[in-house]
Amino acid sequence: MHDDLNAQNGPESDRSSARETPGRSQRGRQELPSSPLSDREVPIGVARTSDLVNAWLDGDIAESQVMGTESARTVEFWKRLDRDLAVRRMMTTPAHVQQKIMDALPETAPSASVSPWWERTLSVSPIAVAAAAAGLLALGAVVGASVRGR
Amino acid sequence: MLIGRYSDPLYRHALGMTGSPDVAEDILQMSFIKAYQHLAEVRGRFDAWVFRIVANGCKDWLKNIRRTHLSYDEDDQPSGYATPEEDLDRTELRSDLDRALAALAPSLREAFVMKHVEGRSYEEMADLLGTTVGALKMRVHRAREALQVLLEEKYA
Repeated sequence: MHDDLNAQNGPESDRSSARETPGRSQRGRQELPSSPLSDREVPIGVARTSDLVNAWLDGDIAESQVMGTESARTVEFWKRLDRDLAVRRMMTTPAHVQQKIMDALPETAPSASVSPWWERTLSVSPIAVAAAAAGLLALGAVVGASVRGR
Repeated sequence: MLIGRYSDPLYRHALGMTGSPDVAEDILQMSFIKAYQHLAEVRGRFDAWVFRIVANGCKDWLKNIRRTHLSYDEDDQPSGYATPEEDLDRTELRSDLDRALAALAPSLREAFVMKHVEGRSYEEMADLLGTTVGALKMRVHRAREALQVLLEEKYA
């Protein structure tokens, strides 16, 4: 049994994609739900991040091009969030984790088990056996006929 | 050597996806062991292949668990903030951002983490995930919208 190590997506991907709804260009502010942050469902599809802000966050345009059109509040929000994200971008794997991984790896390198051909199990289907037998019989008949013909 | 070379972006991905350093460590460890055992099956780039193992490990974990909140310690990580007040603010923001990320659909969270936490380009993301740049831009934009809805009132 092998895991599908080359799978592009887990089984979750289909379901999670299904949860995505097409984006809308609706702008404006919405009332935030009063329930605690962790209990809320994310209202995906309510567009609050404009194309300009997205272009700025993607690095396609400069901040000065957004400031003139977008509220300073939105820009400041993303700048504040990006300060935290920048710290996350600098994170490195703790040294003990690398050591733990090294310790967990098997000492011997994995190798494919290669056995000589005479030790390998041969599996043949009944149809193949019948076909081979018929072939041998036909060959025998041809050889026999040619011998008798001389 | 391979571990030292590839572990940082993979650790950031696992941490961004799970929000827990312990889980990220476990996923990273299991992924490298799996990669080591199946080295003969590598087709194409090793970094892309091992990334997919880690990404699938994160998705499997997300599938099995519904978290409300997990924060992480970064005692050995750079703070990046000058004053204790800024550090305190940041702790709260970090915690809220973790919760907001946890509320996103896995595909949106994955795209946001790859873009903003791992700092990858859309082309690189498309290459690793086997999808198009346009689809990934859409996912990142939706993730931003959702995060803005969840956090703007408190932090704007």
